[in-house]
Amino acid sequence: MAELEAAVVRARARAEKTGELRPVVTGSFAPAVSDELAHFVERILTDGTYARAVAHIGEIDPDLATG
Amino acid sequence: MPTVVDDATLLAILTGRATPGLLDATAAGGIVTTGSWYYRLHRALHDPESSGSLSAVVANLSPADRDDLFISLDDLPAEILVPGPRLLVPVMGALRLRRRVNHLMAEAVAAAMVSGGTLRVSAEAPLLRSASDELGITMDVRSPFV
Repeated sequence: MAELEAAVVRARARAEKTGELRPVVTGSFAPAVSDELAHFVERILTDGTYARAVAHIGEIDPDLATG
Repeated sequence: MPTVVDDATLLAILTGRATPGLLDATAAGGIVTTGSWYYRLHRALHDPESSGSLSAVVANLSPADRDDLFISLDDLPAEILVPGPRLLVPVMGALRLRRRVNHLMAEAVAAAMVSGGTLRVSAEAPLLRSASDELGITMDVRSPFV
């Protein structure tokens, strides 16, 4: 666990130095997509379509499976 | 505190259908995802070999909507952080978990640890839950719409 904690400390120091995790704050976030596209996305995420696709990807490529 | 989101939650955010809380968090720079979740989302929507019927459903979108969807995928908003391998791989490599995790899950917990954030996923994942519990990472399972 000490090795892991040290790795996290080093990664945070690196992120601080490079700004890689510095948040970009815009104050508002409102994607301009059509209602049809927004409804489509809501549908595939709630009716199981997306979950089935993800399960299939996990079968092909186990490193992308959510176990 | 940052929230590290999975691919389904990311998709809901990108199309503005996620909860106001998630959209506000995005505007505040508080949303993080991983390369693996981003890649899986891209693959699910783009690659017929990978996604089966989903790509056919996507193909039925109007050309304008399909373009908007793919543009939003190809050009992630700057507000959404995706920590790279230089940052996460040393942490992933130092994981010594009781139950072995794959690349996607190792990257997810590493992103949460380095960002000091929580995990938010759209479906229960026992191995990811086990890893999160072992590492003291809060993991929420919630629909991106609720």
